[in-house]
Amino acid sequence: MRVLSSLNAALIFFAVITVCAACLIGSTALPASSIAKALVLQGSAGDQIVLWEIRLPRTMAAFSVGAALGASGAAMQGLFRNPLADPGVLGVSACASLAATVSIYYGLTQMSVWILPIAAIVGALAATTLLAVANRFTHSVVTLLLIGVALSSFTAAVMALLLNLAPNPFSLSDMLNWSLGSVANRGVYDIGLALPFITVGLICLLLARKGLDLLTLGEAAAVSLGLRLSNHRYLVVAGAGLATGGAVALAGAIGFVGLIAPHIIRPFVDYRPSHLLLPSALLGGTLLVIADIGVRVVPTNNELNLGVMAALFGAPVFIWIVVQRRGSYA
Amino acid sequence: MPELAVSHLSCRRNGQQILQSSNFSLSGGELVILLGPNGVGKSTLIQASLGLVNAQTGTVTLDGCDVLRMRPVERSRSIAYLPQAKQLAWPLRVRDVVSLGRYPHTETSGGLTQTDWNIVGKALKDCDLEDLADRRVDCLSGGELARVHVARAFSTHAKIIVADEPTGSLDPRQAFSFMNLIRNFVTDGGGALIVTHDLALAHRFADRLLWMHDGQIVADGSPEETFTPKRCAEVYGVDVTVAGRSMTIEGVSP
Repeated sequence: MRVLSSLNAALIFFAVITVCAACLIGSTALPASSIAKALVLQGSAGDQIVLWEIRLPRTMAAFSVGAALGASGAAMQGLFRNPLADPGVLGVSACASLAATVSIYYGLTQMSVWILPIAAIVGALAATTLLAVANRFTHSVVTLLLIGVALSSFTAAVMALLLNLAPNPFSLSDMLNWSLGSVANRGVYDIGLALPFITVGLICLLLARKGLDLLTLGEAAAVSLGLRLSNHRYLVVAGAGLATGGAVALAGAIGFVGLIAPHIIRPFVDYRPSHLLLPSALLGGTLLVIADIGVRVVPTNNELNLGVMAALFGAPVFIWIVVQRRGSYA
Repeated sequence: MPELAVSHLSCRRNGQQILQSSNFSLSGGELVILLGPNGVGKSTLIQASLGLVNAQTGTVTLDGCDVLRMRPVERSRSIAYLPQAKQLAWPLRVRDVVSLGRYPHTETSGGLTQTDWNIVGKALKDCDLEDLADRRVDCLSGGELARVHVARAFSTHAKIIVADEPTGSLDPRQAFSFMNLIRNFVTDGGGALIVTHDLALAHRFADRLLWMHDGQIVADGSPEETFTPKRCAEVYGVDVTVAGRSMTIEGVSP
């Protein structure tokens, strides 16, 4: 227990440092003293706007998205007993961003501001439910991943179809942003629309954590130890769907965070799935804030998408994990 | 003394009758071994008896309480189940795996108390796992892993232990030390139901044998009464010779 809390303390410390760094670094060079002044609502109005309306919201958006994906990945890995499960790899993020795009494309989002996050969550829930049902019929690690691959290809195809039918170039670039993921220009308002869903999702996942430990022994043994298997499955599916959907509503589809964060944390918590969730959320958030700093400092003509940055680092790590596994433990 | 009573249990799966109106009982202080060839319905019988798969008809009672209608957590405090050996999903430490057996008692309270950890420590000691307590389960031999699962069942403090082919992949020495652990549990008043294909082991250790054939229990009694060459030929299709507490398989029966 003490190991866990000191690990969390270290991760929180690391997260705070990263968030501070993210506030200091940006396209407009601002000295640390101006940022410090702006933080306590002193200094020039311009500095205050840069901090409170641009850098801090963007950083908090990146952190919330990373935390949601990190915890969702950890929980899905526990539920599917598969170290390669992740909202990105299994196509959950892609389904959520497709649903969000459809809601924009058909103008549903003009009815209410809540339509967009709800559409993303419906897309994510549909995908997690499909995967959970598929997982009941097959316990093969490979089959589940193949279903994820098929799901990703299918949503990519539908997305391409929508792009072909897009009425104007603006919506086209909009859709691209959804499938590549970004937290640029996100304000407090956008975060406010996604955060309630992410929070409820994370609470669901934390409530399911002990069941994930029992599932280590296999489903039959878990049930014999008193786990209500279907209730537990609903809880994880709902939690991962809400958290991933909320994350996609805020930033679009960003892959690999939910894969890498739990993989790094696992040895530090003795591989216990129940102890994995919170540290994975903290590390996932931190990793995405670092990736977002990277996006801002890399000198490109147009700003790089955050999802592109995550995939550039995430995909090689994914391959490395697969090779390391050699058919046994991750 | 606990008493598990199973009566008229039937089970269908995919339109096939897997279990036909089976009856048996299991009391504390009794080591019962369930015998029968592959695919005869042994696993279904024990899973249905624990309410892990739905039975079509039949009742199961433990000390008069309906097992099939019990809350899962309540049932799991009384009956521990060891499914057929399977690799664990994650390489946890031995101590942590054994502590999962305390879940039925700590489900509502949150974490394990010092008392729970003492019980886990006792279970580790009883199964001779103290030196391995901090090892990861992927560094264990098959026999050590089997003992970890027994320790997990012991730490639940259940009155009944049901194990499905626990000795399947063990060498003779490991299989014997596994059965000795179960024997100690039974001597202390627990009841054990073990599935095995090892006829010699069954003949030596069982207080009572259940013989299963085509989804039915065809014989129920002490090894002396039921372990006959004729029954082995009928149920398993092998010729055996029995001499006192030992037996030999001579070959495939014609």
